[in-house]
Amino acid sequence: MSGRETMRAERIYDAVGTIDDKLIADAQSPKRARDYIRVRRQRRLSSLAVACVFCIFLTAVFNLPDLLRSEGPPKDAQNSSASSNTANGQNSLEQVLLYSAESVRVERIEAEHIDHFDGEAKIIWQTNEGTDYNVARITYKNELADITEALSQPSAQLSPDAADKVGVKVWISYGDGRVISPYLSPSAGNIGYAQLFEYTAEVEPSEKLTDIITDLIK
Amino acid sequence: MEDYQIVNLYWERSESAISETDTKYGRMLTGISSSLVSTKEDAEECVSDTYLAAWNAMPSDRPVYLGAYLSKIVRRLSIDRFRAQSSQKRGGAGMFCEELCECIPSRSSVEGEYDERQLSDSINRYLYSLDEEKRYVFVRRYFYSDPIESIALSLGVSSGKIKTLLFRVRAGLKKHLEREGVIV
Repeated sequence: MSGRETMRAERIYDAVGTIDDKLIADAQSPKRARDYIRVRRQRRLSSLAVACVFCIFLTAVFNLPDLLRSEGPPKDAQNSSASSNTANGQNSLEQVLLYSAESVRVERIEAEHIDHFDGEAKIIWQTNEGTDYNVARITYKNELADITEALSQPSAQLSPDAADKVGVKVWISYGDGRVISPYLSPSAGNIGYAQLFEYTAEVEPSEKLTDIITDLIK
Repeated sequence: MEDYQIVNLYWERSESAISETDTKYGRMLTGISSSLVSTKEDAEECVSDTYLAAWNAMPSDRPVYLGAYLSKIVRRLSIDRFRAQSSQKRGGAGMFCEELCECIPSRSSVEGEYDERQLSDSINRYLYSLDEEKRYVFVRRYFYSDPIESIALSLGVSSGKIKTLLFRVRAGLKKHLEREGVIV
């Protein structure tokens, strides 16, 4: 390396010493490194799950003629788990979230590691009895757009008794500091910035929103 | 103790500010300095000088991320000490500079001139454009001066993967600096 190149490299090296404090702080904690490992393992599991589904699909396709020839399942054996929606949207979102904590798309994270400014939208929830937070990242822009539209639509008001019985706290973090809850009417007073906040549920999440979140977490 | 509490001690000119800082960040700062300077004694002196610099800078400064703030100071002091002692010695800051030589943009693609602050801003923009893992690896390697093996161990991957990742990130930084017209 020539002397001039050495000087130039030293300038870059020195400039690295003046990068944003947040970049330095983010890389400081070894816990963050373990989060990367966990996310990477979950992505591998997701890839494995996709591969398994594809294999099952191929198997079904190649065996389709045989399946068609058979009588098929009884007509009254409806798929009872096809949709978690019930007529009462209030319970269905709660049920979806309470039973989805083991999904491969869901991470369990401590509050201090949830970054509301990383540009990544996410759904965050916590059971009333729990201490950990479950996070499912909203990967695609159209998913976020659908959720935003569903949040903007008017929802039914919850009675005080029903509001007390909601067993899970839910937030949508947009990745730019905004944090909104599907259980709160979307007003400026109900939008948090860069933190998960305590609240008492006011409104019932719409069936459309529950469907979107259900599809996203599955 | 939280960072803001320690910073408050500095602002209150409390004698416990330094001891609390040393308790929380002493090991990290010593680790950064040890990677850059030749001897343990030099590293200890750099860390002590860091505490003095922080004491003199606060109040007036009120850093949000105290660890990052102190890391910058100790890194700067350690590099200066290394250069003062020897710029030819293999290892320490010289080794990292040799790797970053790959990021120097080509003369033919350069437009305009940037000062030190704008170079830093450009590198900031590049780092924010990376995903978290690449950003973590770059900052651990070139700011914290971690060995490649240590970074690989913390992420649970092979050293080869870290070397490949760093190669790509450096190549990306070179293209980024060329695109932004940085003269280095």
